[in-house]
Amino acid sequence: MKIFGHQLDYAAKVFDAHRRPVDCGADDTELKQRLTLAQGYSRVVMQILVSLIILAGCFAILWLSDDQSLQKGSFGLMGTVIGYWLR
Amino acid sequence: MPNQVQQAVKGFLLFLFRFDGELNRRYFWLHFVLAQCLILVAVIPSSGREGGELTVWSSMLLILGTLAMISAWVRRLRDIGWTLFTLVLMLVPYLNLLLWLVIGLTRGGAQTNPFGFLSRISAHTYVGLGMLVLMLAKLGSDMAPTVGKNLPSGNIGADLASPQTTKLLKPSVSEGQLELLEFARHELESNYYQHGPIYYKTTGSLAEAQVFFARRVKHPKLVMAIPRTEQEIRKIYGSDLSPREVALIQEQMQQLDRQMQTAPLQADTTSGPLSIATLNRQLENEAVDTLILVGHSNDKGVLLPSGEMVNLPYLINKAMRHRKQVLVLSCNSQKLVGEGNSGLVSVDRLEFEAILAGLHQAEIMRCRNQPCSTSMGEYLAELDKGIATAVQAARGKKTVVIATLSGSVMVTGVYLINEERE
Repeated sequence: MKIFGHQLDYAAKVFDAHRRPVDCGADDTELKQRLTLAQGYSRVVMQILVSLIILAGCFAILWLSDDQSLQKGSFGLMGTVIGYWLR
Repeated sequence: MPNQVQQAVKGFLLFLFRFDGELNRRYFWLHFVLAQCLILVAVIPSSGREGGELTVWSSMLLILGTLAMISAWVRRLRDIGWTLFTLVLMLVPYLNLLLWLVIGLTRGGAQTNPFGFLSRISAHTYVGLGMLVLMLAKLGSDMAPTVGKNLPSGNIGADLASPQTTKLLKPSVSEGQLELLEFARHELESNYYQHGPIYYKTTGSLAEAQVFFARRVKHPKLVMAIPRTEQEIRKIYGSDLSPREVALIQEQMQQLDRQMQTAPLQADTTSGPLSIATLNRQLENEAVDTLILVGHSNDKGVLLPSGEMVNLPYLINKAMRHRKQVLVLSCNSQKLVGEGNSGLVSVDRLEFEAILAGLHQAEIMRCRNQPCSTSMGEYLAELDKGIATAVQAARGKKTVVIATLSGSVMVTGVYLINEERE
């Protein structure tokens, strides 16, 4: 049973389906699935953008601030984002 | 150097140093032994020296050995589906030993023919080669400067050129089978040996498939059954699609059209959407030898933008009557050829299934949904067997049908080659 990697798998499938909604060998059911996945494209792109912005913000805090509690919070936030993508 | 030996040496070097493709467990360990031999050859001579300094030859061999090791790792990781970033973990002491064992023992989907041309040579030959390198390593410990000169081509070439090996390299085919075997082999070589496994060609284009096929026919004619308008898309892919879904498909079709603009063959788009009537006219056109039909299909036939469907048996019969070759590039080609229709071609179902087994393996090599279960050598043997029996069955009949794949972005190809035989 697969425990990790669902989110990355999903994102990869969405990108692939967006590029090729009609895939070779796909029957009608798969065509429907791919079309549904392809429609999640904007959502996944936004997820990636938001994650990148949060990570950039966290790095900036770690780089610029000496406040221990702020740094701790940044680490936590980074962990959450990374954990979300690795789940 | 004879061509076969040249190919053999090339295959051996590719086996050691190529970074594309995959490696199954058996060949991984074989590769490991050979790479270790290279490293031993490099290290042993210097171990006796004062200070343990490496000579120039030893350093070069050490680098080559290391490259070979990394090559094996990369291909093995790819085979078991792990990310290549795992290589970074190999820098961690102790953990790398554990990883080495896990990766070496984990079952993968290996479908590769790591030796290229040498697929017909048994693994024993390679074990023999490994022993040879070990002996050279021992000799090298006494004669450090001459190790590099002794190692590469001479001995390996002599071993491969032995009568027994040469016999293995030559497939035993009769005259009647030769042409078709050459066709299949050429395709495999051009698709697999030269450019890597077919699934690496997912970024290839329809133009490539065309070039590949156009080399084999005299006057090809391209007929596109690709839908362009919303109505045509609904007729082919279903009327229950939402406007957004239609737009997505339309975008892909436009992408295909853009690809087609750079293709050597141009389809005639002036006569409106393709229908059975226009297709018939193309089949009856005497100036055309081969018709290439690109379109979507279900398990019964090719769907046309006019809303009609061309059954495969109808297409084949029509093509035979007008002495045309037909290449169908379509989605769902396995179903199209495999279910219900195979009895209607001139090869009987069992024989056709043997060919389809080859097709299936090729499809597996493209790594779509299923794990690979047999080696490339077995696949070749199966394909040879399938084609041989098909040719035998078709003797005295008019048509031989070979199904195989093209590597294109969105179309799985099935070549239906109607070839007259006396």
